[in-house]
Amino acid sequence: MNAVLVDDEYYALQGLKMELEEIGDIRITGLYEDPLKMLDEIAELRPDLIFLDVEMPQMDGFEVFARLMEMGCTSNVVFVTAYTQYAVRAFEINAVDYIVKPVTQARLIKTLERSRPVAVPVGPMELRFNCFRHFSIVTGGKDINAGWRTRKAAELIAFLISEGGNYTAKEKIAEALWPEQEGRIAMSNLYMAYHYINKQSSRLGFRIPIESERGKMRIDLSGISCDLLEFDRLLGEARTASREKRPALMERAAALYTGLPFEDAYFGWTGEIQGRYEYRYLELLEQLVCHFKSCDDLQNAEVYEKKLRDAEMD
Amino acid sequence: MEITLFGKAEAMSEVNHTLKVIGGVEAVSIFENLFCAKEHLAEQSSALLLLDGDDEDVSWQYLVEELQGCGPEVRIVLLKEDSYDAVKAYDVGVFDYLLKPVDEKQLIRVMVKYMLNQKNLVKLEKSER
Repeated sequence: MNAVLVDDEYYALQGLKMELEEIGDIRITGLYEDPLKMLDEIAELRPDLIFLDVEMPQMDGFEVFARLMEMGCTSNVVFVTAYTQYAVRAFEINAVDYIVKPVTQARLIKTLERSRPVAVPVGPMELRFNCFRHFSIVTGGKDINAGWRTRKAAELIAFLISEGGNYTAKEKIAEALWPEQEGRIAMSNLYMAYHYINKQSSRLGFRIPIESERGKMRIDLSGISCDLLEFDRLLGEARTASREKRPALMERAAALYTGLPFEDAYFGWTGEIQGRYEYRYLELLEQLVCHFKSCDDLQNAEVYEKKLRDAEMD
Repeated sequence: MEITLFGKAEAMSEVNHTLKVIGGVEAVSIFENLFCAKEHLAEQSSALLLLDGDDEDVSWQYLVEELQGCGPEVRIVLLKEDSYDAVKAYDVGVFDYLLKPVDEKQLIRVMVKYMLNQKNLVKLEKSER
């Protein structure tokens, strides 16, 4: 971003410049003690931001603002002043910000954040949900699941995945995630977790596609790779595939299963989904053992027999 | 265009009337309860919310913080009887600040500002594509 600073006090001007440059990510293209000189040169500079003092001897900040508008200037204007009484007037002319001196870096950072266009992530995202044993959400090669401030964010996502992308009543979700809480508080917690996920993921530049409608919520799993869905897909394909292709599909499905869904997370509601997938996996292993025995491939049969024994022991 | 009002019914009746006079607003939802307002906002992709900042029972800063948490696209306009909190409103990122009784022209200005703001976001989304 480019910025121009206008203040009739030399030291205030230099101080503001220094603070902004320390923050970085902004280029100061003009420093003016005289607003009239700035008005002469602004058309060439075309800054994104103009930091403007209010009380100046040559012309006050609001008059400068009006002149800028007359000239068709589209820069965002931030008033920087020692006075508080002009803030409503600043709102009325759509000034992007109003800072009272002495200016702090923390306050300037807020101004810069507000003035920068917020990018809304759009288009296809690479997002992968790994649910068998250790629950992780991977994007850009990074596991983002460890970064949530609250464990309930990950749990909400996990729960919605376990519902297979279908809409689920918010009461049911709240009850599963906060069973010890009274209904209204549990619902409030659910909203907080939902907003937290949206806010945090937007801040980090991706989007977890949770959809909230009146009374219900779901996660849109279309276009997202997820090992649970992949496992189900391969099993479905194997059922209808030819005898030659079936074993390869079954082996691929078996390779995905590294443990019970969400096993490491110890969520309270996982009993049903874990039982379901464990049953499917054991059945799959039995079928693979039978298949390899029937074609005298004893080496492979032994591999799957061992996996079957291990799984049954767990 | 949809507008959400938050505040006690008697405090919001006047601004609601002004909105009716202005016209062009498809729906106005009025909330007194924070939980219900948050639930409503959670279901909107974006929202312009007019908030009564003179409720003695609850601080407007608390309400702004709670309601801003509903998503980055919630734009809060603070309605106040005086101008004392305008600097603070800028500090916490309030979208606009209107003095009561709300002037029709100022309300139109805020609505236009909001529409332009939304249009710019759409433009930005397109350019990112």
